Amino acid sequence: MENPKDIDISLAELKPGIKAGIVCMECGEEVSQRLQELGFVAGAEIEVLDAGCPLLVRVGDARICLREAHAQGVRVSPVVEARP
Amino acid sequence: MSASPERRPCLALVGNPNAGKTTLFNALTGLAQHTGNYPGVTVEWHAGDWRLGGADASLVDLPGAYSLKPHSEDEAVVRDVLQGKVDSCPRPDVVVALLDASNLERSLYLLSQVLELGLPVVVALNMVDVAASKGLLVDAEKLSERLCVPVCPIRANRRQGLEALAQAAQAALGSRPAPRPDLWRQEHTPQGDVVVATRYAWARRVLAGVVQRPSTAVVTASDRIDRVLARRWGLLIFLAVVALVFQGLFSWTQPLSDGISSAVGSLGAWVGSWLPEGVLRSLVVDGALAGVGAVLSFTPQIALLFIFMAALEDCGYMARGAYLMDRFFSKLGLSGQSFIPLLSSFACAVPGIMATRTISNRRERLTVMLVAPLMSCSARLPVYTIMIGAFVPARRVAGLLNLQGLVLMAFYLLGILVAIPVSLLAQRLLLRKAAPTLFVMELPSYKWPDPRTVLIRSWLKAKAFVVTAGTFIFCISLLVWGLAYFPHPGSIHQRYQGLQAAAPEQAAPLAAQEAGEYLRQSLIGRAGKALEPAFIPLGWDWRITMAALASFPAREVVIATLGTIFNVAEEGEGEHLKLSESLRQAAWPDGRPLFNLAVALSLMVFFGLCAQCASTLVVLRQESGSWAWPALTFTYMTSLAYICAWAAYQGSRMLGWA
Repeated sequence: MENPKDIDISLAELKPGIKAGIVCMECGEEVSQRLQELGFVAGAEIEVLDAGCPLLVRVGDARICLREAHAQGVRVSPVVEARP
Repeated sequence: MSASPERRPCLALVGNPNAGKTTLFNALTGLAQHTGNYPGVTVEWHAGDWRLGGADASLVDLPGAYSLKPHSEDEAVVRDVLQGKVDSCPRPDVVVALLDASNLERSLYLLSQVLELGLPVVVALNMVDVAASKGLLVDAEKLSERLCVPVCPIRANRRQGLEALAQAAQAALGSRPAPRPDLWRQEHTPQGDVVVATRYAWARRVLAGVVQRPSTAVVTASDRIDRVLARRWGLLIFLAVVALVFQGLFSWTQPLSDGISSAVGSLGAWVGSWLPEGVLRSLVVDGALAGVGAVLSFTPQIALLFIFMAALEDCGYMARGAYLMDRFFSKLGLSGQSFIPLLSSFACAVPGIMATRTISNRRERLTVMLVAPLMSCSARLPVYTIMIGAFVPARRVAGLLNLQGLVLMAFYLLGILVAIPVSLLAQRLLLRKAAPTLFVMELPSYKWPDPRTVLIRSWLKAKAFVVTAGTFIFCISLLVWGLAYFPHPGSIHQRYQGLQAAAPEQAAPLAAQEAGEYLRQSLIGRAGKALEPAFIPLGWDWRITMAALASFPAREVVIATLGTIFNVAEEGEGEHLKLSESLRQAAWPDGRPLFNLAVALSLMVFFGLCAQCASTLVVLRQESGSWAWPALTFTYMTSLAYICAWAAYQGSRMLGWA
């Protein structure tokens, strides 16, 4: 995963189909603890499968749905795809 | 708890939700299961016998958990049992940790906590086939070397690898505790996330070289199915599935229910012919057998509901339903997980309230329990059918729709519409301090439902329904029988004997009149008369009042009670038609007709909203852990029913429907 600019956005802003790496969690201890236990750990690969409400994402090997309010606290950094 | 030498070995099954834990547990124990509740909490407890090398061991199926740092009652129970802190359950001798091969990193997160307990651990590696479909190849031997515990690859749904698992578990009994994972000890840092990250880092170290993964994530068959079922048309498809399930629930079970009712009826007639006429015969036939019949006739519908739910749950579709419905429920402060319990309540509130166990948030769960009895259960349907059939004109509305059908639909909507403010108020006023719902849910990979798991699960639930609700309905039926039977003065009987002797061809109508007379003289009849003034504003006389009172234990008895009180002779098929006729002819003492549209509406509103179901209250007590919740439910529903029935009567009188 190459990431020259280190721009991090919230998971709620991530476009479907774009792979990203999780940077950190900024959503209160209780929520971030639970999300991390479900696989939302720094470095894990994440992708939005459906940007509806709630969001459907792939985190590592799991498919998880979560509400936008919680997704806003997940900071991710989109992976810049290597040029073909 | 100390382990005495004679004590049966006890093993505990731990794993993430959706890792196939229930399937494995059912494969290992079959029907030799005991279920119950953990003391003080509402978490279900499952234990079964597992044959280990010629002797039975006890296997406890712990609730699915992502972590031993509890976020829910379920997870707290897992931690407490593993630490030996639950009185009714001995500390396990061995932990069987179920890992999901298709999501090993997260499975190892939980395992890292399990390994710290100081107990022998055996690992069962499940879902290897699902992992393969994601392009993941797992080296079980290498994993075993890294963890220093036995790792048995299994396929729980195919019952493969169970023998090796049993051998490993037997060998682990009395062996040394599993080695602790070599995490850097950072438990004392104030932020929880450091520890989570540390555990995940350990999991990655363990898995390096153990799991081969493709360079890019594979789009699985499950993902492709979700592109249809969990997106644009998903909601419509889901609602269609639900409609189909309910169609099946009401149409397929009807013959079976009718068969059971008539079988119990014939049994009653047969027993009745052997017993001398009098209090004993009435007790057995009208009290005990009628009570048994009432419970059993509901059982096919509820059992089928459990089978449908277990199948949808097991194949992974239920989670999609919760995901799709969340958008609507989030506006009510609830989540998509509330949908299924509320939906089940349209068949019967008892399984609906039992289904709230899948709601992880306590505040949401209590709220759903409070409003589930408002959903129009199948026991309300006969009341609606009779009243609508007798008093709502069968007219076409807008050329297409039938007015009677519309009114019936309105009564189904009534419960839903009332539930919305009640649930919002309950959360604002009563459950303010409880943590709001955190809706983060995993969507498991689709799989074919395992028939064995589905049948065992629904069998146990149906059994629990018959035992808990059934026992109670039965006792209450006896009580109501007593209230409706005594004092049973002999003078009435003598009078009717005389009348029958004079007109033998009038035997049936006279017998019906005699039964009606007894009921009017009974304790419950007198209560109806005493309470009549309170129900006059609702448009009811003492007979309707009495029928409503008699229905408090179980609302479905109202039809039978109305039949008796309005002297309907029991002649099988035509009974309902006759009842409608008798209701139309019933009059006040001054000759005005008793029933009209306004009275019918007020009675239907009352039955729609009132907590006339003792089994629901008992299940509420059982599931909420205190009598406060059933007491609150009873009070609010009954007051609401009275007020709304009054409003319906007065309102429709103003509209000139009286």
